[in-house]
Amino acid sequence: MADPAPELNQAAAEALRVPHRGPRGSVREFFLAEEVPYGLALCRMALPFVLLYVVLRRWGHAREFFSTDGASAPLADNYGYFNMLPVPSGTVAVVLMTLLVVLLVTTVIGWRTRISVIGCLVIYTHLNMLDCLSTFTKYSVIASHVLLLLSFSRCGAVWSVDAWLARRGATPPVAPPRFPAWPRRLMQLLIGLIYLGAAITKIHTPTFFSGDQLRFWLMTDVNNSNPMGEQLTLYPVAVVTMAYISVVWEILFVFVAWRGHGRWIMLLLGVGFHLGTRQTLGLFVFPLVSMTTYLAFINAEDVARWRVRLARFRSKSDSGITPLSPTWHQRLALAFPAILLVASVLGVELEHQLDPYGIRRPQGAHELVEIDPDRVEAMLESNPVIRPEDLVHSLEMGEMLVGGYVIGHKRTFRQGEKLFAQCTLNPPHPDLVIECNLHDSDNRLLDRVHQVVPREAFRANFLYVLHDALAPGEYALVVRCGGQEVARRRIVLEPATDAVQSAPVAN
Amino acid sequence: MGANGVDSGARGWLGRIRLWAVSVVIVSYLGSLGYGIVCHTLNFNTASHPAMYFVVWDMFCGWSAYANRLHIIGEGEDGKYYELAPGPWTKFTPFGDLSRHDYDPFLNHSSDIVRNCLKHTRAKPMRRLLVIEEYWAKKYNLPDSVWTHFFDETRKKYSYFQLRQVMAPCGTIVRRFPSWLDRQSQLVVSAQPLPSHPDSSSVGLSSGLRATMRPLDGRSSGLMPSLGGGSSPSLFPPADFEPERAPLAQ
Repeated sequence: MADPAPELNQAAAEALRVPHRGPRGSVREFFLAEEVPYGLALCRMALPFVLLYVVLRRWGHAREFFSTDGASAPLADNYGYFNMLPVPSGTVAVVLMTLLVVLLVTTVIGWRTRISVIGCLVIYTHLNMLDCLSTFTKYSVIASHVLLLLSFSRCGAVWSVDAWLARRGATPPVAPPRFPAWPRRLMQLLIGLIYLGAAITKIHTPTFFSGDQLRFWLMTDVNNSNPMGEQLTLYPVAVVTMAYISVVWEILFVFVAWRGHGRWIMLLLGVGFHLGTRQTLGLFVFPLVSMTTYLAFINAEDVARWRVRLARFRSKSDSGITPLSPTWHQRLALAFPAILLVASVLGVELEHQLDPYGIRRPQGAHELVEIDPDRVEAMLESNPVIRPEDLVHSLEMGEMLVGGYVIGHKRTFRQGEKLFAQCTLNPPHPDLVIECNLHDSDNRLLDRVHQVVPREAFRANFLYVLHDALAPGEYALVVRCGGQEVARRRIVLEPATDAVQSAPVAN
Repeated sequence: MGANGVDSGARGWLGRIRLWAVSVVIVSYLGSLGYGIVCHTLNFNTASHPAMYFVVWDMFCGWSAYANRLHIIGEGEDGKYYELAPGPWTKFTPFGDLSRHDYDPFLNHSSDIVRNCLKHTRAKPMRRLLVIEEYWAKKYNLPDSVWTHFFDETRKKYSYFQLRQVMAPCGTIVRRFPSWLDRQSQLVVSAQPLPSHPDSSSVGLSSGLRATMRPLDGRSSGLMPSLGGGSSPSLFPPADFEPERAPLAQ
């Protein structure tokens, strides 16, 4: 499963010196082959950008979310482990958030990379675990994993300030340094196992494959706006198809995404999947964090190929590298802690000036917002009974059923055609009797059909054959539930295209 | 053995130590990920420790047909009601349009949110604090272009409210109630009335506090509701069932 580019170091090569390279040798080669860490360097540059968006949005709320001077919400409390992690004071929380911002920036540029990454890992994970309401999510977990693996790696050895300084040191390296591939391999396995776990979750959820739950997910407003998802609820067959494809892809990923065409197919499907969740589910940060792990699939051979392609756009420079004087190296070494210190002080001062609670305003602390008494009265009215109309999610009409869903939506039919009506129900609902009745334009009941819908069913299907006993004109399908009309759809019946059609009264 | 031999021996020894250390890290890391996958697959120990959140990948746990919001309000001693979340100083919405307190479905952190709000505002003295849940069918969230595909009627959004938590003015939780959706799930599988909530007087609460529980007390909240259909005790009476005719539809 190894890429062709990496090479083994001496120790690993000695370890592999066996007559026949068996599984053990293959595993060692997979993890210990040496390579230039281009993929991890890309991860190092991409992930902090995403996290900066998350962190900067919350910086002004650090006191409220992560400190004893606010309303922290430790994740451990949800598991019954109270006081598992120390909650900092307000000022310390602001200092930590400020340090996190600076360290994310230094990680991006690769300055004091290992210290920066370890700092990001510790502060980011700790603060996240103190706010499970508005900060800690599964993308935070993935980001923590990636930061952990980056802290093991030498991701700052290329494309970084550290590499730039190394080239200007007393003994500049003649070639890009090479390191064992295992941090990159673990990152690849991480995303593969995440997808496998996600597939298992879906397998545990039977209504995922029927599309019912996924349809409600597309309507959720818990995440950001997702207008495409809401439109997609009109095409449940497409939703079900995508559900199956996503599960198959999630299972296959960890087995196929290693080399050759399989790698690109899996990664491109992944990009499509994650961009799709952006459009249909309103997930913004999760797709970006997940896709940064894809950069771990980029190897030295890919970089060499792209360099060749880009070479024609670059002008050649023959200027030699001028080494920096030792004094400059010392100054730069001191600049790092100095920047952290100055940023912390400035951060505390800025937060003080911003006064997030507004307690130092001229008019004093905020007053509570009074709620309209009528509104409160409505809130305090208990209404444990679901209205019948809220039991019904939709009434759709179409030409046929595919995958349990009506397709070919329309409301104008011709004599002799079949009309499939589908009443989708909102769970939970009791065992129901649903009527789907045919009314004429004067609202006279022409036919009454009922169906028992058990509590575990989400849909009731009705088939009407619009035979020629029905005169062309306007009709209505009326759904009744609990003896009450809950939905009505107008339909138009037009004459049959051919002259006479022998249609059964019913089937 | 010369100096070079000692150096190479030390390097080899260090190399083996490093190899072992790397192997331990790899095995530990993959072992923890694998443990999470196995626990998740077998539904075992998935919530035994916060660390499990780092190795269990349950990103799709199912979504409800109902949207919900939490209202955290305080009843002042002046008889007025005040919004306690979000605090008056913030409009922060972490992931979409919802406020931070809306992402606390188990209400594990509502008392901290309330205390923080009271601490940082010029709040009037409170008599009691309430957490009320609001639910409505998600279909009412659909845009008009989708709604018209499903219904001819205009939408009439209707919200269901349920008192979830009662807190003392200091933020101490006094009573908890199940969520409205959990209660509906219980109702649909129970033909018999569910045990009603404990009577307020039995828990020794003040009359003022009991007043906040009027939505659930003194009412047969567990009874199966009648949704019309006259005097029939059943949820969906058979009165409409006429002798079967040859149906046009099935």
